[in-house]
Amino acid sequence: MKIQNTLKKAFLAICAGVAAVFITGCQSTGTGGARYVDSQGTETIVSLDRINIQDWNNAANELVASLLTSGALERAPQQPAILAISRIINNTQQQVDTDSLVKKIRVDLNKTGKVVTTTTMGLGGRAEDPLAKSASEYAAFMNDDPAPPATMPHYSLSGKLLEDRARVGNKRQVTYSFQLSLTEVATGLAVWEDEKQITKQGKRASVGW
Amino acid sequence: MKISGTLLAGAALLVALLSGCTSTVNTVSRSDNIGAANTVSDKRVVTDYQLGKAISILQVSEGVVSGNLTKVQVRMASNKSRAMNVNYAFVWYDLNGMEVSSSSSGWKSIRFQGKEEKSISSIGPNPNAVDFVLKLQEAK
Repeated sequence: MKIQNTLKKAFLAICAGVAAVFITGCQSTGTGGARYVDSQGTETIVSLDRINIQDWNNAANELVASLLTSGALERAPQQPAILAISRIINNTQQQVDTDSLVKKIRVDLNKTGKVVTTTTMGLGGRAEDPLAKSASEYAAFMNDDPAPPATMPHYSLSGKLLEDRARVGNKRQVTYSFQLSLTEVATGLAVWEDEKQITKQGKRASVGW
Repeated sequence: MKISGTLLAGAALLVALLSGCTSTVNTVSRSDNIGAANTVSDKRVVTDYQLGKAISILQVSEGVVSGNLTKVQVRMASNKSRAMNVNYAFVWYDLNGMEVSSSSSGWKSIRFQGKEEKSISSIGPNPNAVDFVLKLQEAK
């Protein structure tokens, strides 16, 4: 009888301990209140109807790795190579700013020291940095130069975002394709091209992955 | 008689369930590889013993891309018979041991089929990035 009581108490103590551990472990997420999570961590939300922050990160990271591994940038006539950003077409159902992808690629390439991006030359003659462009033109005018010293890019980056959806019963699948091409301006030839696909499958969005 | 019938049905159900969960990968490759990896001796810290058992690190190798950027590749194999997801992240350090960040680095997910071998790789964010740490975590 005494042994039974002791065992009972020990069992209850263990149960209480396990429950405490579970409650403490779940406390940070169980309240539902807003909190900070790591933008590059595994606690971000995974959606089936939109490109999430981790998708942009992964696509940019893989495409930069592919471009660097290809050796295309080393063949530029001067180092670092000068890059201009051309048209990135968004053919997904989602309204996105393509800089979510392109800016990450630009930043990572810039950090490698292999590429600098022109901000005074853009698609349709529009400069990303109009102030820098007009300052350059103003300086050329004041110095009585015939034309501002425009630096021609060696490469142009263009691409497309695609989306493919499928469904079986209540299970949904979405694939986002991130396609990029690096064109050598002098020849008009694509010297590097790649595609990164991200597929997500499930019934509903989830927190964490 | 009734009990043995129930047992048989249970065993059949168990076999069906087990075979449904098992999907391993068979491979064929050249018997003597032509390529030779520049392997890196590694140091491992295991805090999740289940993951340590589930995923084997087969080889860590390094190379140079784009002239002066260090690239590392880690070849891993799943020891499980069912598919599983593993999250991973590479962190890079320079010659002074300082962390080198990049805008698109961070955690990624990789899915292993049963007994499948896969490689993951990373390129140092700049020429100063020479050392790395690979973090692995079982996905939720």
